[in-house]
Amino acid sequence: MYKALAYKEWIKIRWWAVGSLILELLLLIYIFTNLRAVIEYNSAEMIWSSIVYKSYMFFQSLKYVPFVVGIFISVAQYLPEVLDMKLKLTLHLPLEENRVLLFLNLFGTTTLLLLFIPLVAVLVIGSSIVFPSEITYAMIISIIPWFLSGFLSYFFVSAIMIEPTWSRRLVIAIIGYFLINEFLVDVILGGFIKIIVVLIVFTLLYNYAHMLSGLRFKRGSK
Amino acid sequence: MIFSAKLSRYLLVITAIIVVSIILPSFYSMLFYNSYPVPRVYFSPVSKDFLFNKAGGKDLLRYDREGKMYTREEFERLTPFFNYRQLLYREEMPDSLNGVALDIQDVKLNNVFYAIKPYDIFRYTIMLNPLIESAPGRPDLQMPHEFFRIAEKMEFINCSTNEVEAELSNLFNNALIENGFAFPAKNVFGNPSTRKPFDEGYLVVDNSDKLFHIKRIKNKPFIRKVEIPEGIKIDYIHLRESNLKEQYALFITDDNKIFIISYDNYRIIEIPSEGYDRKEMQLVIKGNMFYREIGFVSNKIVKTIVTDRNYKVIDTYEETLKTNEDYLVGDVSNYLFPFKLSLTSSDNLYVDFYSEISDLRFLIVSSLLAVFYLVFSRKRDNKFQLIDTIIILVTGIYGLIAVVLIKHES
Amino acid sequence: MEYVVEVKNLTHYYGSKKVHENLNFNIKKGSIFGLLGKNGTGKTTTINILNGFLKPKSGQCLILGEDSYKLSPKTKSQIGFLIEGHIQYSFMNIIQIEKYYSQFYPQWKRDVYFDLMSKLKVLDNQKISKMSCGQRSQVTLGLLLAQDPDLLILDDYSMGLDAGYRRLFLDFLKEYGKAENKTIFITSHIIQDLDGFLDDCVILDYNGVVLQMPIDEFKNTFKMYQFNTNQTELISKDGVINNFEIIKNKATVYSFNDVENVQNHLRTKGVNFTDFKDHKMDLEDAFIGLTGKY
Repeated sequence: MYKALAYKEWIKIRWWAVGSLILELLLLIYIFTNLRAVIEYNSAEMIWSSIVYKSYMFFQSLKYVPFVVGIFISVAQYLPEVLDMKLKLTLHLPLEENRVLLFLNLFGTTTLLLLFIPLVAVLVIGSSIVFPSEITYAMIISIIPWFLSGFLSYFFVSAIMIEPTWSRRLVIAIIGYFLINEFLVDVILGGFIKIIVVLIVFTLLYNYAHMLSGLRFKRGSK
Repeated sequence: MIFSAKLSRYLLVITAIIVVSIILPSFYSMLFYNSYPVPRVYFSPVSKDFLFNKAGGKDLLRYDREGKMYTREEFERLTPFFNYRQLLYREEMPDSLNGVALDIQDVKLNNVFYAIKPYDIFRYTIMLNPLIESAPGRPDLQMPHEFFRIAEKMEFINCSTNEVEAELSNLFNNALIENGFAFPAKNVFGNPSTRKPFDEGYLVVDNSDKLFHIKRIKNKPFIRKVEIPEGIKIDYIHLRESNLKEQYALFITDDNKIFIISYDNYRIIEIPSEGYDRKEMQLVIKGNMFYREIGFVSNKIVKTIVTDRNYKVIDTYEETLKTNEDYLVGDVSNYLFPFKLSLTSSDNLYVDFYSEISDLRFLIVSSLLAVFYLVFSRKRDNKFQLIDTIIILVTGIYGLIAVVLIKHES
Repeated sequence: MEYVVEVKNLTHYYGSKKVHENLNFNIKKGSIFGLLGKNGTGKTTTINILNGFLKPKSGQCLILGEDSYKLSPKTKSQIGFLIEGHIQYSFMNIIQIEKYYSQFYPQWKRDVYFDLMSKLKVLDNQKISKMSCGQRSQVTLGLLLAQDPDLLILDDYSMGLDAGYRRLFLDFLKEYGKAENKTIFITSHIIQDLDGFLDDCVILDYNGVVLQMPIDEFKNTFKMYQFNTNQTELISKDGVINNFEIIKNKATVYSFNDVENVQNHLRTKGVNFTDFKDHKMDLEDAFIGLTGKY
């Protein structure tokens, strides 16, 4: 039965997922052609210096992409559900409602993972070709919070969509905005290393962020 | 569904508390806090006493310990080493001071001025550095084409090919092994710039907290184990090449002691460090032909120890500064906010949970809020919301905002 | 189990606006039950509560013996639910949606669905969002019939449908209800279609339930009387007269009482009448007679 549910989710998001992949591809092309140009224009050792001492982030343009992809997937998945209250159909299925809601978010989380992993993989491989592992490692530490912001934007937008009242939607949006802001704070390369594990665990918890709104939807809160 | 929703609600409530405890105090301080200027401390070789300047209105206020005010010109005349360029310009530079002839070249050479900020120490560093050729055989230093790492072994990586230069790496690696270096390096400190008079390479703390000086001379390794006092752990080294050639570097230990590595056969000299805390104070080192000034500066305290050039203490100045904590706005903030959260810090370049935890004064306000909420929730839901009340008791105004914004579902 | 749906003392408010107060009704197994009322009398609210999409302020609502707010998956599989406006996953086409729903219901009747679809002039890859309202109603009907539920809950099946599709919809339902001894709960604001279809009904007014009885009893006992009178001002709603209309000195009164009782009642009120006639009514007339035209 969950397979069927996944089938429906897939139908909703597939073009958005493809769109996100294209966006990521364009981003990667931009990042690496730009890096190549910068190295050729200056010199390799200068770029290394800039990275090590001035936290030059050649992957900077990636920063908001996961955030945007997270919103894409959430909208693709939940907008069709909340237009005309179609979520009622989904909740009426012979399954437990909270499992259905959790499954929907896990589907989205998995989709984001599948969208993000190739992006990270190409970045890591690309970086490893040009830079030593120390720089690649620092890059990974720096981009993880950005990717987490993608999951968070997904979780919060999902909660906003399912939520039946406008006042609560606003509250969730404000909380989400300021929380995500902290993940996107500008710091030096590798600056997130001390709390990266906490942030990952913390982010995973937000798979539950929409459940309260789910209950409110079911109860018909006004 | 009820259970998940409860979990979900507490997750959102906690998130709201976190977010509000970040935003609200910073908003509060933006609105109500004043900034109190931190005085800069000077030791006048003329009056042999401390002088100060600090921001006040449009201009700097210049004054001494007695509170006597000075004009800019008077002040500059009292600090001839620090302001020698200005005095030269006005042709007021004395020829001699305290019976010592002042040669401008000497003044320049002996002037020292640098600061180590907490965030210089507490930051993530990528342990890759260029090892500059110390004897380039040319007037200028040149950036090498490789960066080195000292992990399981010392390796040089060519920047263009990103490949290890095996020959050079082995040369240095073997030299390190011969000198008893314990891999991997814990920390590498240097001054990776070509805009300096000469190059002194790097000071490297090995895995057993021993100190090594590594240089590249005519593409050959120069390795020198530096004997440091037993039991100390070096946290930070400030290495700077200076023509004075008095000291290679200054280092700070993890118990806030400060040492100098002198050119005198790497002799280690401990310098006064009482009252210094590297986590929140700037270490300001000044020096001239006659004195050394060791300053510790935060927004709460300013301390300067003046010594002679052998670090024998001559005079000490310490001033506790007024902060917002000393005024009503600070008091109110202590009653209002149980803690203040931030993920970034001005003293530290790591992202972390920096929380300023208030004393227990907040409990007065949070108890009131909790009682108020308890009565209110009893009226609304005909039920005591005990957990929410406890949340408010512990997190005060943040908790109240959170549980009101994300109401309990009956 | 005699009753499929039991509604006990159901009370619900939107804020301070009362929707239901102490609503009570039961639906017998195998019956076709209508919840009738004008727009805004709480039909959809009732449906939402029955399906667990609204938590009532107080009272209880049992479906197949379970609290409607906490229906188990097994019970949900026995309930077919039509959302007002024939809402379905409009981003799917008829093949995809069948593939989807068939996974959830073990007794899925694929042929029923595709028989119905073959009569529709839609392409296999045509999204439901690109279909007409009538076509969409056939898709939702097909899905409901293929699900083969014991209880069908239909929220305003007539919405947006022209007469042909409405008739088609009911014809299928009638067959379904008859052949399988299934229970159907239906709301509509087009009453005339339901004449001869319903077994039982509840009629809602803005103030709550005005009537609850088998449909035949309603049609047989609820009467319209017309007469001429000069004392129109003396006619009022009371225990005998459920509703009345006055045009000049021609009065129309609606009552569950027979001719004799009504005439006696009028006389005791001091209303003199002439030309007293009683009229037959169909369901719609009776509905309007009971609830008024406004």
